[in-house]
Amino acid sequence: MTTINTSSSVNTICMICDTPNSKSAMLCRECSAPLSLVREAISQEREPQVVSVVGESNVGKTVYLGFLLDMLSQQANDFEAIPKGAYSIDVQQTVISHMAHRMFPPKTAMEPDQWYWAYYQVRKRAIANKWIDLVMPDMAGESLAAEMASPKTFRVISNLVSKSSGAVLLVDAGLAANGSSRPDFFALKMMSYIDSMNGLRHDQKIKTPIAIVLAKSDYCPECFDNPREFVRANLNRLWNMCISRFENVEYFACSVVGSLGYATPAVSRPKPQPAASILKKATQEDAEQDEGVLSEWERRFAVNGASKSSRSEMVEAEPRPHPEWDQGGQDLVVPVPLHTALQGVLEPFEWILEQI
Amino acid sequence: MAVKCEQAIFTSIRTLTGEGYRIIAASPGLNPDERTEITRRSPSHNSLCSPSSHAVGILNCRLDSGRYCIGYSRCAGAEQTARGGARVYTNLAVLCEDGFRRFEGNPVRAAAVLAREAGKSIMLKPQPRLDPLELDPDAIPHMDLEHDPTPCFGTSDDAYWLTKVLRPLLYGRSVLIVGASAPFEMLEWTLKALPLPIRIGISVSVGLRWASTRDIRLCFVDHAGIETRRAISGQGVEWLEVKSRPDDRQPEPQTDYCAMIGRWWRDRRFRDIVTLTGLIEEPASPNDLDHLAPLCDRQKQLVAAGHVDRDQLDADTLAWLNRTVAAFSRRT
Repeated sequence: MTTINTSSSVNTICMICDTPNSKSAMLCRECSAPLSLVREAISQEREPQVVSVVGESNVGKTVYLGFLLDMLSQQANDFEAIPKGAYSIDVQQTVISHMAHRMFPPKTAMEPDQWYWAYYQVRKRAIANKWIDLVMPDMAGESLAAEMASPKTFRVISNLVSKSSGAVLLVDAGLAANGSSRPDFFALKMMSYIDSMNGLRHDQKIKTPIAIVLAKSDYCPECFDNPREFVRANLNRLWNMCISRFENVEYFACSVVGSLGYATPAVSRPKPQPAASILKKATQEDAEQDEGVLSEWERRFAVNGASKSSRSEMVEAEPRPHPEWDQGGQDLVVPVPLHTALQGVLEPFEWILEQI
Repeated sequence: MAVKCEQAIFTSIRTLTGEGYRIIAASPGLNPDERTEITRRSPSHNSLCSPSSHAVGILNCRLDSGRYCIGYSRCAGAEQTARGGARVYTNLAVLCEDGFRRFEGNPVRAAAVLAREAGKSIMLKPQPRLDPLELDPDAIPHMDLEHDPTPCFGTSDDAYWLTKVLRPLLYGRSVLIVGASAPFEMLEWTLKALPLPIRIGISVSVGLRWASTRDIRLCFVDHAGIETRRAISGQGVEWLEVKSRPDDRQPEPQTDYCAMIGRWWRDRRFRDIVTLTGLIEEPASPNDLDHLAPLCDRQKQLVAAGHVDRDQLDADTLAWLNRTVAAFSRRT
């Protein structure tokens, strides 16, 4: 048995939500931000700047952030970047290793303690000794949507947005080019949320630099020619909001995946077999499943005879995987990134850094 | 008689207005604050501990509105973005305190009835407005405490582990239990060993990964890695890794109440445990329960002769204890 008694004195104030935490805490008890951010910041004697990467679920925030940090680590475009703490490298490692194996990284969970956080010291070599400490969280799109729909659902998001020195708003250019209004509405909501978090009067514009990044622009290469015009034409609600309320907005096109394949489950054609052997095999498989795979819940509450006592015979069996779950109107097609071709990843970041 | 409750479904689907995890359908009686809290506390992607397609998780918490939320989670095929991992599908029921008390404050029982009523089907294209649910607490047979075999947590000393879990819960701390081989049994008996007013205030989860946003007091996980240790570090959460043999090298002081429960468990007095905790209807502090323990142990002599050290107990506590002990004596 292992027992960890974790109570200790309060002396670490979270830099995101200002909640006091115990000395031994590693994540903030209120917002789940890593407290190593605070400790690193204290040792650097510099106030870190928060740059938020926001956007709808599945727009590519994790992939963008992972590649951005990797490019910085590799000193692209004369940048020099130093990760502060091993946790800062997790997002780029996850993204790069998955993409190397032709897979997109796993979906980011809504729970803030599952998010990636990166703390980097960055400078452009041309500007000697101007180091900037950057904190960049990888938030889940669903959490952002929930927070926008009902503020204070995830306090960490409102705190992050309030404290952000700059933001990168990713918008799905492929969907927008196809005429979907969804990316436009999400971006409009996001900008409206940032507006309300700033709480300025109607005649005052928000000065926080915001880079509108047209993600997945490989679907509509015209984005690269004139992203501003693309936004005005295809994301007009967002465009109008930016004009009305934001003073410092720039538009970029970005693409990470060079070519994409789509995989579907292989349809196997069984070889003809004698009926007896098929029945025997099926019986064996059923028996193995009942013995090995059934969860404790199923064993206790199933009425299929697998329960171990009479009082356990309570509930009908949990629904078995059914083809409808996988297919019923939802995609089972797996997108496979065949190779990467980075375009426009660094530019939005570079612009924000200039504005900070 | 069935308990009326509101219901919601929390999962990930793609629609014209958005995609990802959210409440995809709910009955109209859920208020906006409850929806917000459910969204924050419900399990999202990769939240089930087991990767098996048969994995099940349950969740129970008291919402800020005062109502109780029961969740029943399982896998529902591949998540629509196809970025790995199964879609986590959760049916939720929201019921009032009286309704939850009718389930004896037992979330396993409530979740089992919920699974029976609403968990049979997976609805990935539901109507946004669901009808309220009716959950019948008697739909499932009650435990037969006379003839049941000894409850087993899959450890060599269940009494040791039971008392080990009870102590932090009584003192308001959170507990993360790792590797229990029969977590539902262990959860049910842990809660049954607590008086009902304490029991219903404890938020629990089984089979779901630890997440601070869920604000769970008693969390059972199959396994926990470095991320979980990192998440609970410094949060006042007690980590108990259930192994088959208790570790005697770290003896901890037992409270009288926990020691009594342990003794009764070893004596197979399961009915007495359930009867006692069911009788305590008033809020009781750990100190109250520690006073109660010796009285219960010596109830017959006490009731007969009134041998109580009055100097140690104030009048109110004594009256309460006597009422409880008297009621307990009548029942047993």
